[in-house]
Amino acid sequence: MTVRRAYHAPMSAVLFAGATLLLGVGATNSQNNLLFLAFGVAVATFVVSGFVSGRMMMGITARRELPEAGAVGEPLTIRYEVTCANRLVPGFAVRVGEVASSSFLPKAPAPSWAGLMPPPQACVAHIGPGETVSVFTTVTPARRGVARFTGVQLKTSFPFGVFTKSVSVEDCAELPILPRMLRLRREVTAALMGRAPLGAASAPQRGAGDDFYGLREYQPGDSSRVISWRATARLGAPVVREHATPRSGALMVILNLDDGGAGPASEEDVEQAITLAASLIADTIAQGLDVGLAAPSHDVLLPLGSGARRRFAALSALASIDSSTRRSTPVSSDELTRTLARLAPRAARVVVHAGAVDPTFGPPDAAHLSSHDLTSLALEPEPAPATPEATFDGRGAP
Amino acid sequence: MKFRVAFLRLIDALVFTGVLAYSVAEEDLIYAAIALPLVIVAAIMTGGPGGAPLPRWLINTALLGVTAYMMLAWYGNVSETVGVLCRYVIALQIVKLFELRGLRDFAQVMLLSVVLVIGACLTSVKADLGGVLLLYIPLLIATTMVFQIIAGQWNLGPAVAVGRRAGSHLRRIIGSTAAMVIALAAVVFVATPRGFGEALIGSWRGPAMQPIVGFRDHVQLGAQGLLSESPAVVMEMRVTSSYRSEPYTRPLLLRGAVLDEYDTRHFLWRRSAALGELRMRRVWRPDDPQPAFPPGKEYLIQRISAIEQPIGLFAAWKPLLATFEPSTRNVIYFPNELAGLLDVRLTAQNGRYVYTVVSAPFDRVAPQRLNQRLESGTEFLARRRPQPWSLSTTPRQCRKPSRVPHNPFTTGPVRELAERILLERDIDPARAKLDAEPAVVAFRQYLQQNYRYTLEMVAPKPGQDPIEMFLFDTGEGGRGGRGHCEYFSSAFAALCLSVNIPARVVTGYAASEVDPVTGVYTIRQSHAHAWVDVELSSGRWREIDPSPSAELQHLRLAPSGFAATVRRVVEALQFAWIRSVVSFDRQSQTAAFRSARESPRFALSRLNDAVAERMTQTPTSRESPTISAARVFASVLVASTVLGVLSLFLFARAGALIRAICRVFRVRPPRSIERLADPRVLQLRRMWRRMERWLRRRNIHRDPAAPPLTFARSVAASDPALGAPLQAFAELYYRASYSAQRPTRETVAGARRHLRSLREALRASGG
Repeated sequence: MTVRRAYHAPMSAVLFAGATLLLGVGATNSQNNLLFLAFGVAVATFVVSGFVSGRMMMGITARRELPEAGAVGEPLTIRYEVTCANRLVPGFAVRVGEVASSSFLPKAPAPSWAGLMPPPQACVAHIGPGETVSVFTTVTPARRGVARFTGVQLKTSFPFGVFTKSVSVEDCAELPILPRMLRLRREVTAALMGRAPLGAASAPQRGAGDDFYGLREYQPGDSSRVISWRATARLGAPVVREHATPRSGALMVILNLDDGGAGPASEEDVEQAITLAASLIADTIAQGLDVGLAAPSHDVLLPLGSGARRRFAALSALASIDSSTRRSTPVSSDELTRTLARLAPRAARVVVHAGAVDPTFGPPDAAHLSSHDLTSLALEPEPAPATPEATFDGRGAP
Repeated sequence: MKFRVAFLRLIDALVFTGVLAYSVAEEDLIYAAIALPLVIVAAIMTGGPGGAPLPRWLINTALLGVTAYMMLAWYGNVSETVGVLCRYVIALQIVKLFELRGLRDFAQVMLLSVVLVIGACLTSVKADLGGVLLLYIPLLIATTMVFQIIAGQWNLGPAVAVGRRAGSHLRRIIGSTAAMVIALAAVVFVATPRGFGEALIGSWRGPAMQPIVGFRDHVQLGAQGLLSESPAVVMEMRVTSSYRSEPYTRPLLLRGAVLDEYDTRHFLWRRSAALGELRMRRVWRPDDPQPAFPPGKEYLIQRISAIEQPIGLFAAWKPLLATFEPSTRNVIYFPNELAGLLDVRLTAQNGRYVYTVVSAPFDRVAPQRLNQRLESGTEFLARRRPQPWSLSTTPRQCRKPSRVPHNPFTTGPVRELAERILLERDIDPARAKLDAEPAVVAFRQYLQQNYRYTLEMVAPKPGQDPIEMFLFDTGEGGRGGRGHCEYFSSAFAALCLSVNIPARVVTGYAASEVDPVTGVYTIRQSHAHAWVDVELSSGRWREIDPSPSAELQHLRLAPSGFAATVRRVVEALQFAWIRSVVSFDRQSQTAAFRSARESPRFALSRLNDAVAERMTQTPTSRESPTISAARVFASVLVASTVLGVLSLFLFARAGALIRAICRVFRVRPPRSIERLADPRVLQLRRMWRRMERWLRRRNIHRDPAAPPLTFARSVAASDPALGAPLQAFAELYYRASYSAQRPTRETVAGARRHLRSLREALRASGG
């Protein structure tokens, strides 16, 4: 664990030094001993400020606890655990934040969270010697991506605000910031599933799924665990529960981040396309259906699956898409069709295009949606895109 | 929230204390009296439950009004810039207190308060202000520190954590930081060079009040301020007469310095080269023989104990010259029989500086010989037959007479006044020197009848001679017509000199506070006095005190009673403030540095003296100086060794000592002390540290925050071979440190075993 300590002289230090100098000149000019005394106090304040803050921060360390993922537009809570290992000196007014620049920890990889969210900031107003306190801070990410944190930074201007002493503790971690997900109209998924080869609206079958199918009379050999005791009591005869087979509908979302074959789409279109894809994935999984994801330009290919893990995997894959890079050799439509036919032969397919629709892209039976359709498909209006720099003033105070 | 409440209280207190400081400096408590209710109202309005600041427009209107008033006040009184600015700052602060909204407002109020206190420092240097400053500085430190805490958590909402016992820790760190700041400020205050750069960029304001403390070996007229009335004891003196067996209890003037030259450029009375011509250095050594006093004459034997290192020697009927060298603690004395001095000896006893002066009155010295001394002292000394008790002199130590002191009063208004006074009494000014006594009496009466005694020191106008100011600027609103003993003496000497009557100013102490039973005179700071030596006839000098005797009663009376005791304490504090802070100049700085440099040597010297004194008091000590020195050295060595061993023992066994003390007083010692005192616990801690060193060499570092057992478990998770003995050791360590049972010999043996296992495991894994 690398720990790097540094002193910073903010503008207040310069002003204070100037005032001290003036006081010294005034004392010398007037030979007034009380001014000499005031000058002495000012110089002593200067020295003691550096000493106390240095001594205080000498034994203070911190570590961070991140959630599994964050999402654009949703509050993200980060927990910091701050420990004061000093034997006697307590800590006061310690600002806890993240290392924002690689200059603080040169050997660690460059942090990347700054472009995705406002600076997380918390404060430990007091921490006693040998004590550990936890502090939580909440930030709202403004962009999707993978936020790389390289270290926790502790800063204090205590006791007099003349110097700022910082301690950067290396603590590397990555946090996927999932794309924004909008609630889509109910008919969107239904319409897309209607294009599935086996039909998306088939009646449920008896099986071993989780959904309730019905009740039947008890037959010898039935497990006692499936007896519905409440219905048995009501009917007076043993009755067992039956479950439906898992639903067999599936949707393969194909993401085309090129603008109608005319090259890379604009960043805004890409983000809208990713938001639309994420919304489709979230909506489909919420309905208990399988979903898969393919982004050929970024080598993303997730086979069909359902449940929370699949949802997280798919959204994480979307979060990790870097719009500024592309696969060196583009994947042809035939190759993509063959791959999808092998991986998800019976799934409905939808191609989400960033920008204008390119009907030649993807399998021939696929539905095509444009990023521009997001507004019409979503139930709620999409909020205006915001950059972290524009929304936050850099001090953590919206 | 707690910090915010504390901060609001602190900032209110800071503002009020700042205003109080200015009020004390201006000697007008009206500012503080007005500010106090306003501060309270503002605190209730803005800081109380449901309180809210005043509307912005109202605040801005008030600020505009205050600024306009300040401009008008300043326009009307440009010379009082500092005062006008300070009052403006007070008004601004009060208005801002009603507007406390954010960090910027808090910072502005604090800054204004600091500016106000600096203005107060420019206004006055009184001890009262010093007292308020002693309150203000820790308050400012505390407010700034709590402000930093408030600023740190500003706008962070719930993302703020506070540990346990925050208030206690805050008080502790404020106390220690304030102590550090004050100590360091004192060092900077002492170390900052003095005496250069004065008025480099013009004079901002008249000199602040400069109180004068006690005796000085010169008289600087024209300073502004006041003379110290401190009752602090300077020295004690026991006087015996060679004629009488009972104690000598008559009032005495203890002469300190004789000043016969007036420098009209600096308004300074000082010792001229004419007085310096008789210098003959003598360094007293303990083995010098006792002097034998010539019989048939009355001599006063004065044994004087000074509380601190004196800057000069004092004695009744003292000779013209005698100085003291504090650095070597040797008395340099000038055995001048003619001036009445027979012997001066000085020793240091129990921190007091004791010296004995044997002197004879001037009147007993033949006038013609004194006259001869004044004219050609060196030739006289060369002819003088040495007395049996005096030491030989070397020609190098005798200085040649240089010149007769310059007399600047023979022409000008002082001369005119002197002529007028004498003519009014039918005395011919031209013949005044021949028959000086009537003229001297006339001058003294004139001064005592027409001038008022005061301890205040009024500065003359630029370029104005202070003596002329005292004598002539007596009209309504004039600065003259009143003054203290130095003005009376200077004016009297000037009048005498103007008609060519030799006169010189003498400074010293008026000793009259005497215990009739013991004959001990108590000499206080307030007894410092100045008078005049006048040569009434050729070679016959007399002490004349021209100051009004009724006004000087306070010098003669000793304070008594409870009120006097309280006053004495207060004045002692004021005296300490004046001496340590206000009057600190280049001389004081040099003395402080010298004292710091020589204090170790001085302590050794004191020890040496004590041992030597002890040895010489032994009747059997007839050994040679070499053996004495060896014994002294051996004693010092033994004492140092004993002290060193004792210190080491205390350092190592502090816990055991505290435990023993607790046992005596039947109180339970603190648990940490109890543990610390146990040698087995200490041994286990040492072993643990050694083990941590081994692990560090293997790049296994313990997080300082991780307890030993947690650390051991984490090591065990990654390397079971290392972790097992480590974990076992950690458990032993825990039991020894925190359980109710004390560690036994077996515990330590077990810990050793685990340590060996760990070492073997490290070796096995290539460590």
